[in-house]
Amino acid sequence: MTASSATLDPIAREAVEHELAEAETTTSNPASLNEIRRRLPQANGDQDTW
Amino acid sequence: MPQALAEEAAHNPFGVVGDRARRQLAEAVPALAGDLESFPLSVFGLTSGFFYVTAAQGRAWGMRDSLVSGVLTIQALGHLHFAFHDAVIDDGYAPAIMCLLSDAALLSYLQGLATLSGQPASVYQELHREYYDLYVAAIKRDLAHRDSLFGYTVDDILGLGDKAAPGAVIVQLIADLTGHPNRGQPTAQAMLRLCTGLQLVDDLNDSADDAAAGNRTWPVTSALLAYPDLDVTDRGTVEAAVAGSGVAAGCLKLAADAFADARGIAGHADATVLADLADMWHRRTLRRERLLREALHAT
Repeated sequence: MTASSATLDPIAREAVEHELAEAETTTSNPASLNEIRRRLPQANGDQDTW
Repeated sequence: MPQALAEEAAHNPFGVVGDRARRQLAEAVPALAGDLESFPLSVFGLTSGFFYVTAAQGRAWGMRDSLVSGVLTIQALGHLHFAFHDAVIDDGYAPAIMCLLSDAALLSYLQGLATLSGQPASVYQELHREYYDLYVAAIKRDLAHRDSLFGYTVDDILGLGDKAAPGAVIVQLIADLTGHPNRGQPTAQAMLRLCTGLQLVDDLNDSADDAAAGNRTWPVTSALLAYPDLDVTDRGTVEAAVAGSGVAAGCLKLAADAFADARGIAGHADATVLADLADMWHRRTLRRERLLREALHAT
């Protein structure tokens, strides 16, 4: 039997469904890009972030 | 880089593995022997510590030096074949010599699998065919998003790791060579789950370049759906849109989940090298997710 990144338990699927639902909510009322641009540099705490 | 991968890189440096792969290709296609020296190590996959995961895992399971060396060489040959695919699919162009070598690389790779394993060639050919089909399905999902703008599905996201599916053949090989054939499938599962996490992180990191190139990954797609008038030529604006659409945090959350799963599955299969790598990425991604959420919710 072969492996696959997609053959997963229901919990993993639910997590993705949840993130997609959140994204859909955000898409209908997105934050101001200027406000986001002001906040983003604060996420640059180490080299792995941007 | 985790210790086991660094040690494997010291045992078999990129340059040495690359020379072995070039020699094998020169024997397969003497007419191209003179062209091989100019090939960069990157086409053999020899620029990333990830290349050593399978060999280091095999060594941890007791694989002897000569077999480790053979596994790395055929892995490099297989990588060249898929690097040719990547170049054509992503850039619409690959050097002519690479095109001519690609078939020989695949044949040498498949022959190498049979020789190293001592099994009839059909056994690993069938395994390759099955994983190749998963890879093709993943690439097709990618291509559909390039053709038109539409939201990602659960299967699109969970299946991102299948773009690395051909590598699962090497995982089964090391399991067979070390007398642990039953570890092959779960370890391959862990590796592909790890690759889903890595793909999510890569797609997030590359979102500005991908948006400009019209490569509609999940971050780019979400940003475009949330901000239809987005100027894809402005890096800062694209990155802000990726964060503002919520997909940046989503990528990091789902990548962290994938790394945690990979760590658990690998642990159960006694694949300690893979489990350690997944753990490193899990911790790194959680830290990054926390910093992003703090920044976005700061007052």
